[in-house]
Amino acid sequence: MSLSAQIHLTRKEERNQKFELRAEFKIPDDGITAIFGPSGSGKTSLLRCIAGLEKQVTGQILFKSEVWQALDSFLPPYKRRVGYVFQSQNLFPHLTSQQNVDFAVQRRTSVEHQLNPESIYEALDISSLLDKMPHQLSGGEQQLVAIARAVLSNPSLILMDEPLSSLDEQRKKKSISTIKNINEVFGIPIIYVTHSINEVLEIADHMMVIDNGKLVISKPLMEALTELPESGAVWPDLGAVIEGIVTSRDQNYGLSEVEFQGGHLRVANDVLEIGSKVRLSILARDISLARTKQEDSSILNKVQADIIEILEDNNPAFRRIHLSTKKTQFRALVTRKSVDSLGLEVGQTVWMQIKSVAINN
Amino acid sequence: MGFSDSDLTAIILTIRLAAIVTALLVLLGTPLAWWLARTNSRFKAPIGAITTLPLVLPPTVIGFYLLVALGPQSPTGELLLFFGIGPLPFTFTGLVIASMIYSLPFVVQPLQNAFSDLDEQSLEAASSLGAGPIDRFFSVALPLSKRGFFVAGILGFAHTVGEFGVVLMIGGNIPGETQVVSTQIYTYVESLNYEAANKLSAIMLIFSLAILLPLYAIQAQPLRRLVHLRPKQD
Repeated sequence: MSLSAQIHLTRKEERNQKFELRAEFKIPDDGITAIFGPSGSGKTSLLRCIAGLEKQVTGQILFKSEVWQALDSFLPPYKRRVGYVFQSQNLFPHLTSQQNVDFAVQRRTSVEHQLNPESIYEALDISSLLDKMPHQLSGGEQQLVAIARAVLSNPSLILMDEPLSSLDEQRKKKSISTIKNINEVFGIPIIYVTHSINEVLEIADHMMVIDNGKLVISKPLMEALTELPESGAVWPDLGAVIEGIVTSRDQNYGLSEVEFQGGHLRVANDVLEIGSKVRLSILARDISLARTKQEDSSILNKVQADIIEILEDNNPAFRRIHLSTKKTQFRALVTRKSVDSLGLEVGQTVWMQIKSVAINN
Repeated sequence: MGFSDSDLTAIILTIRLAAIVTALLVLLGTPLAWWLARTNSRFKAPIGAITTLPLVLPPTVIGFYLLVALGPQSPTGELLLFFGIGPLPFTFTGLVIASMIYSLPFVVQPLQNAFSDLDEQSLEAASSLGAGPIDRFFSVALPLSKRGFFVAGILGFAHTVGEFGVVLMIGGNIPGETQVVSTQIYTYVESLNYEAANKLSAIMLIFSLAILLPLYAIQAQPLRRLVHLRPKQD
């Protein structure tokens, strides 16, 4: 546990509204932590507090053995050595991309993991952009240069505020794996703000959930996800997140089989390595329920599970059904009519028919 | 059209005065403008108002008070004399001080506008990359407010060249010491030498136009706020 904080921030907004942020957490320093929550929940403010960019914040922040903030001390951002990537317009407009990166390189203080710029340019695919001014780059390209700049400033911690929201899907995917690489290869911890659960699933080892200025969850990803249903307001659509191991491949049909605690699933991918760990996610609306195992259906994945709870949905036509098989939790979104006509009740054992499974790594 | 020796002396003196005043004002006005642009202090309003005062006061009023304040009978005058400075009225140094006060808002306001328009995020990014406050000012704030400095320099220079009332009050009209182009013209007109007055006036007109052109050439956008700052006629 290496970044620990206990902070409180009050800020006056427009029309005399008051925004309040309260958070107390400890997060590990070796992986990627996602800060997740709806827009306006305080994700960015939390990140700015960690960086030292919010001066009115009170409380304390400790990073490894350094005191960043305490009752009577406040370490300014330029002494914290955090690489900060803003949501947009990161680059100094009067400098070329190369000069922007050099700005960071010239000011780095520690000799710890000094990275080779060339390898970073290559990983981010920005070598051809270095001679250009920021206004000649697209929003997405600027973000990539900003990520390179932050990494090459030789930070002890990188903070990213929805850094990829201006990238197209293809570049986003590639950048996510680059960010994961930076974390793994160079050992720089990353805190990553996002409002997209898919990005969380792809990138995070640890998850913080923030809602309306309050930190509600800070846990390792899988534990955090099982708690998510209880704070349903944040994310009602996720049916399950499963970590499993690839057990076999069927090249003929282009499928792989993944075993997890409580069953197995087949996914449409035949390049996964046998024995490797995969993270799968299922949407709540892609899980339908049947009283019997129906063999005459096109749906491949059928898993038996027990109904734990039946809850109302925001939409009165639906019910949220919580199910469990061994240690894995599922949530299905089913019409109220189906619940009544099938006579679904808590305690019953039913078959889940899973229409679609996404692979997240 | 040739100029008399006294005309040339006046022209050179004017340029020297304007150059010194502009340089000093940019140096001293920059921290003041930075403070005004970025502080939340309750002294911001009164100090801002005092800085802008020379814009609305008649030059003769400023000149009169300076004359009294810097004169050998005043406490400040005595203090200056004690340090071996002065008396300042009717000297070039006195003229520099008076011109600095008179042209202050023309330098501070464009700088203040440039500093308050600065993109906060650029400064924050610089900070996160390890740049301390002074480093941030010179490596980010200064290059990003280039245009503000350009406008401040031109307006400060042009306004100092164009002043008359203050010069007459505190500087008098001493050739080689305090006689600038505008007071020289006044002398010509008083002695009904319209031809010489015309020559110098034409030079001033051409100069003013030439100096305002680049100001308006660098996009109309930042000048919107400067309309009220155009040098007023004495």
